[in-house]
Amino acid sequence: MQTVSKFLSCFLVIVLFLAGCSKDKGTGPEETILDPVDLLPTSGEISGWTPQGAAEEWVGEALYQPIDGDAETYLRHGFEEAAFLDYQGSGSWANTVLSVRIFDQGSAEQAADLYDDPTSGTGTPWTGSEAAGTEARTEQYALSCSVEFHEAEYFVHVDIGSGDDQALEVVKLFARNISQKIP
Amino acid sequence: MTSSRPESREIDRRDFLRRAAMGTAGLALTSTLTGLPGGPVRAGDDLSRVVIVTDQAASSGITIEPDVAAVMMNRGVMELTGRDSAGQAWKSLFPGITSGSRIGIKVNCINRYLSSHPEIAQTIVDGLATMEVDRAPFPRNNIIVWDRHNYELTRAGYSIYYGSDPDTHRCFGTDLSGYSYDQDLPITIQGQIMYPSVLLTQHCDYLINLSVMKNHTMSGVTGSLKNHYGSIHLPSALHGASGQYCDPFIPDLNRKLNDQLGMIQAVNICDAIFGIASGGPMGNPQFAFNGLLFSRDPVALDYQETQILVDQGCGTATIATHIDTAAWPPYQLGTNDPMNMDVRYITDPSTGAADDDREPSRPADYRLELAYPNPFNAHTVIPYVIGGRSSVSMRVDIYNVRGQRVRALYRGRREPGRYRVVWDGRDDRGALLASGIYLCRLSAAGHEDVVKLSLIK
Repeated sequence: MQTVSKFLSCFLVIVLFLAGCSKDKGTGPEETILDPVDLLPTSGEISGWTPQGAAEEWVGEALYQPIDGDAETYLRHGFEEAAFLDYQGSGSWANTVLSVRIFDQGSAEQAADLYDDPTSGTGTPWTGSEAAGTEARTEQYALSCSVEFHEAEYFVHVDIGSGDDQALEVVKLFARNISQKIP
Repeated sequence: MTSSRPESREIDRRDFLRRAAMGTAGLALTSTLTGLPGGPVRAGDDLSRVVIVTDQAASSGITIEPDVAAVMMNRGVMELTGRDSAGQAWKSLFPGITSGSRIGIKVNCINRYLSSHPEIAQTIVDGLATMEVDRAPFPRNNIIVWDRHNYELTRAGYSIYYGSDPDTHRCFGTDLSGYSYDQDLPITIQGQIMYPSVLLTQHCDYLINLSVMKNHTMSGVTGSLKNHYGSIHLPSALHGASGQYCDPFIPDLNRKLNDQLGMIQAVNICDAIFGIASGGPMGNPQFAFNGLLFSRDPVALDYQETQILVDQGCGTATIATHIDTAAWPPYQLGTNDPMNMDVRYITDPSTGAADDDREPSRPADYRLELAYPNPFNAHTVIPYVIGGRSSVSMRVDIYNVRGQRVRALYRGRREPGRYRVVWDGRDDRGALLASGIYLCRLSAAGHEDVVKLSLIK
C-alpha cells in the first residue's frame, strides 16, 4: 500500500511538472507566459470600447512592416513578438480611437531596458497603488495622451486620440486591465 | 541650392541689414541644427525659400477643414513661386510639362493616425488641375498619389483608384499588382542594394514630396528627406547601427535618387496641420500646428520643420544629424543654414488677417528656458523667448565660470516669439571645450537672463 502511495505521489509530481513545462515557452513549471495577443482587452471587457477587427501580430523583424525604423529600438532590446489592436469608442467617445501595442521583449530585463532607452518616450511617472506595471509613465498633449509601462517581459503602450483628463483615465483603465492579466 | 562646409564665415553689417530688410526669418550667425553651419553665405535669389503658412481655422479637433487647407495650399505655392495665380504657380514648378506628363505625389502613410492627410493631398491634386497645359486643364488622371502599400494608404483614409477616368486622380501603393520595385535600376546606399519603386522610375515625370511632421526615434525627425524611405524596397536596412541615426543613409538615398534615377522633385511640402513631437513616428497626433511648409530645398524644409518640433518640446532634434549631412559634400542637397534661407510666414490666409493684427499670445518677457539635455556631451538645445511687440537686437553667448566669453551663439534681430539655439560645446574657434560649468547669457532689449550648462566629456 505504501509503495502504491509513493508511486502515485511520484506520478502526480511528474504529471504536474510536465503540465507546467507544456505552458508555451517552457521556462519552468511555475511560470506562465502569455502571448501579447492574450493580454489584449477583449470585446465587452472594457465598457464602451469595441475592438476594431482582429489584432495584428508581428514576430521578429517583421516589426519593420508596421512601424518601419521605429522597430529598431524594440529589436535592439530583444523584441520577440507584438500584438496591436485598435478600439473604437462609443457614446461620448464615439469619434475616438484608442490603440494598444503590446511588445514581448523576451525578458523582464529587456523590457525594462527598452523602457529606459533614451529614444523611448519620456513622460510623467505614474506611481501609486493604482498604477500599472513595474514602472509606468503618462504623456498628455493637446490632442492625445498615452500610458507606457513595462511588466515582466512585456512593454505596453496605450494611446488615445484625445488629450483631456478623461482620456487619460481611459488609457489608464486599459493599462490596468492589461497589467492584471500578466502572470 | 548647394552648401559646403565652410572654414570660416563673416557677415558684414551691410549684408546683414540687407537680409533683414528682405524679411529673412530665422537669422542666425552660427546656430544651425547641430551648431555646424551649412555653407557659404548666399545672396538674393539664391537663397532657399521656405514658406510657412499657418491658419488656426485649418483644423477642428482632429478634423481638417478642407476649404481652409485649399486656401493655404494655393497661397503657399504662390508665395513660393512668386506667381499671382494658383494655376501659374503650380505650372511654374514643372518646367517642360505637357498634357501627357505624369506627376507623382509621394505621401507618408506608415502611421495611420498621422499620415500625410488625404485632405492635403487632395488640395494638391485640385491645385494641379488648375494648371492650363497645352490649352487645357491638366488631366487629373495623370496625377498619382502613392506610397508603399495599398493597405497603408487605405488605413490612412485614401481611396485606392487605378482606373483611367480622366477626371479622377489615381492613388495606389507600389505593391499594386503590375507595379513593384524596379530591379533593373538598383541603387547602392552605403553598400546596401535598394530597388526603387517603379512609380518613381517609370510612372512619374515629376514628383511632389508630401511629408508629415513627426519626430522619429531613429532619425530625430521625419520629413521630406526621410520620406523617400517609402520609395525603396527595403528601408529597414537603412537605419544603421545604434547611434548612427540613419546618417548618412538618408542623404545618400536622396542624392542617388536625384543622380542615378534623374528624379525631378519639383517641390517639397510638409503637412504640418498636426504633429508628433515625442515618441514618434507612431501614435496619435499630439498637437495642432495648423501649418503647411513649402520649399524646393528639402534640407531647408526639414530644418524649419525641426525648429517647429523643437518649439513643441521635441527632444530628438539633436540626433537629426542627417539634415546637416545632407547639406555638406558629397551630398549637397540643400542648405541647413538659416542665413541661406528666405523664410516667409503667412498667417490665416483664409481670413485675410494680417500678421500684425494677430496677438498670438506674445511672450511678455525675455528669458532663457531650461536647456536639454543638461548636463550634455555632444550638443545641448537652449530654448529662449523674445518678448515685447517688435523685433529687437539680441545675442546669446556662452561664458566660462571666470566670466570670459567663449562662444557667440547668436547675434541679430528677432521678432517676438520662441526660439532655440544649439551649442556643441565648442568655442568660437571650433575647439572643444573642457568639461565643466558654463553660463549661457541672453541679452535683449536691456534684459538679461542666464542659465547654467554642464558640459561632460
